[in-house]
Amino acid sequence: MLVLKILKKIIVMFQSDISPNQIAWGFALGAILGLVPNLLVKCILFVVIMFFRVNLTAAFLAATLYAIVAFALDPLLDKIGYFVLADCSFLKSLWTALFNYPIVPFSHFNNTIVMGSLVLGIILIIPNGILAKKLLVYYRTNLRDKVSQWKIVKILNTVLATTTIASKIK
Amino acid sequence: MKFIRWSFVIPTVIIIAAIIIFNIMFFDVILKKAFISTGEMIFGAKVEISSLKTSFSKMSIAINGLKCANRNDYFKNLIDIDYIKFDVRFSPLLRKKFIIDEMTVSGLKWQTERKTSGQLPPKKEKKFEKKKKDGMFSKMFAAAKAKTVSEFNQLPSVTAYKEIEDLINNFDVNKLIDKAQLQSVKEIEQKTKELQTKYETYQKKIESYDVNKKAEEIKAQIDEISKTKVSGLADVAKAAKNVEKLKESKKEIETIINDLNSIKKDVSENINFVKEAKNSINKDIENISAKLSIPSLNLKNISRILFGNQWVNRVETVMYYMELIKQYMPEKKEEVQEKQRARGRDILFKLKQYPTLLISLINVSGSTNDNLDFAGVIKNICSSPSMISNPLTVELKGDNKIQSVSVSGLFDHRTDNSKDTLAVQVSGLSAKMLNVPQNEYLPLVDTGKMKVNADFSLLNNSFDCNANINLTDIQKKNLNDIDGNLKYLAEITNSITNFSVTATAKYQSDENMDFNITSDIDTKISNAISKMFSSKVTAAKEKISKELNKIVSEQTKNIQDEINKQKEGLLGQITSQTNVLNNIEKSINEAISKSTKKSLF
Repeated sequence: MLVLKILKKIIVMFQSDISPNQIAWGFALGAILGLVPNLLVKCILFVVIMFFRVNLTAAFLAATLYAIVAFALDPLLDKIGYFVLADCSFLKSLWTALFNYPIVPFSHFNNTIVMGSLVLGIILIIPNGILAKKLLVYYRTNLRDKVSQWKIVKILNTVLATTTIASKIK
Repeated sequence: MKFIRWSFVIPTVIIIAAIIIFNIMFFDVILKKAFISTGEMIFGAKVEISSLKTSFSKMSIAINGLKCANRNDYFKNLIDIDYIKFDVRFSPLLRKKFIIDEMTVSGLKWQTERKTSGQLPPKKEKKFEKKKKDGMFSKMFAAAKAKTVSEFNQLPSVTAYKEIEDLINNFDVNKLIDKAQLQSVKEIEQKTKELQTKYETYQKKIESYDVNKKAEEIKAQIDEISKTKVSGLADVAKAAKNVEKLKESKKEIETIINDLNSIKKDVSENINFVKEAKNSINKDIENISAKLSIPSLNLKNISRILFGNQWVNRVETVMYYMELIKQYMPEKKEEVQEKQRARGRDILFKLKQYPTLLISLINVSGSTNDNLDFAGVIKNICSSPSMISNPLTVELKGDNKIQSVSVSGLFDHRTDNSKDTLAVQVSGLSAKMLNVPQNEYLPLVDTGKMKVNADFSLLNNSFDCNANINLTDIQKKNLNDIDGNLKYLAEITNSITNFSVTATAKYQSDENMDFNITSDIDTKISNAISKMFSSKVTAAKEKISKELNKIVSEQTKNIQDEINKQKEGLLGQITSQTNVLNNIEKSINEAISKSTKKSLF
């Protein structure tokens, strides 16, 4: 049922008229959520995503996609993180101050992967947002009607409608 | 504000606000419980806090009425503090580090009375015991204590005092006189017999001289000489023969006179019966006195018996707290290298390290049970001593000219070789603090004043401590309140108004704990017993003399009277006979003289 619900939400996101900006921001922020391995940072990002009216389905879809991609990107993230933490000497005082600041060290920002993923995620906010918005607009203009005619989509709609009615009767 | 998801923000804010309000309202209660629980696990007895107030704006905690029960005496508080206040640094607190720059502790007292027992509930007690047993010193001390206590209990304390009691109880002059089988009476009887025999012999001897007969015979001889007329040589020869005969009689008379004189001398000089009887009585007194000799008692262990367990308990307390300090202020250990993380690398920046707990300065003020005010500082209480430059120090002092107290301690755990020392000097305070149990064998120690010099040191695993305790001004027991035999013990203990005790305890690695206690109370009790017995012996001697004189005086008087009568009679006889003999001798001399003249003419 959970899988069906998620699928339905994804289909609704694509097929409905939800603001492309909300979906784009959701996707961009979700990408960071997926990339960062640290739980504390994930929690903070989750609160941020929840705080702003961005599309949650897009955010969690992006988080899932980027979490899978992140494993493959580990060497790259390590290099970015090392560069930011160790090679950028002008930032060292900032990192030292943060390192001595309460709570902040719990984010493990001094780990190369955490820092690398955070930096990459922030860098990718705008490209991710623009890309997501453009793709959605293109989809809705050119593909939405065709997709809605697909048998699989119709079946899914029927199944979800039936289960919704059944659960309401119960 | 279209871009904000109010449906998430509003409930979140409400929940956070509720948590904050809950904390503000109930945080003090929760923290108080946490303090009590931690304290109980540290001290192994009930901990009570009257009130606890926190201030988030000042990050301060104020505790009123902290009472921590004594594990060794549940109806007393180990410490009783009126007020504690300290500020906690905020940023280290977020890293679970308690950094306190200055703490105020006022109204510190100890050994205050409790109305309720300070014993922990069985569940907590078990938990504490389990925790306590894990300590190295606890294990070592438990074994040493068991051995020492059993050793102290085996000392012949009861025997020694039993001996004293028996001697005191059985001290009965009449019994001693009975047991002594008096010789004086027998000797007097013997002397009487001897004297009577002697007198009879003298009497017989005097009678045997038959002086009157001898006088008549000599008179006859003298008459014969005086009647003799010298007219020729034949008469001269006859007269000379009579004179010779008279001279022989004279010699005989002289011998008798000499004998009588010697008897007279013997009777008048030697026979002093009272003197003889006195000598016999004195012999008896000496004989009984020998049985009243002062007992030799094994008293050298009395101090160990009296103070042994106290000393063991005190050492145990000090060691327990020293171990506690070690536990919460561990020595420096080799740093463990952190493992490489599974993903990525940790870049380490210079981090300002904080120990889990650091109290830089505690201003302490309080009063002893004798109301002696003291004040001082405790510096550098730290959970990781190697992280700070100075060791933990304690300096407490109080002096009101009559009483003084000084405590100085150094607990250095900054390196592998830890060094803990504690010196306590107390003078003029009530000896009640010693908690010496009162009994009939001891002076009223509680009423005395004490002067204590004690040093405790723990260098690595070598424990060494010694204490010199001088007790003075010990008050005397009121003998009127004491009945029976205990009065004698009270007399002994009352003679002791001061004494000193020296106690030591040593422990080296792989050796048994060695406890030693010496005190001059052993000698003092011994001397007191001797003194008491000496006075009793003197009194007994007088009593024995009186008793003996009473027994034999009448008999002696009668005998003496009889002897005197006999003596007088004998002497009278001797005198009259001597007079007679002297007269005869005179007559003989005259007769011889006349006869000689006659012969010449």
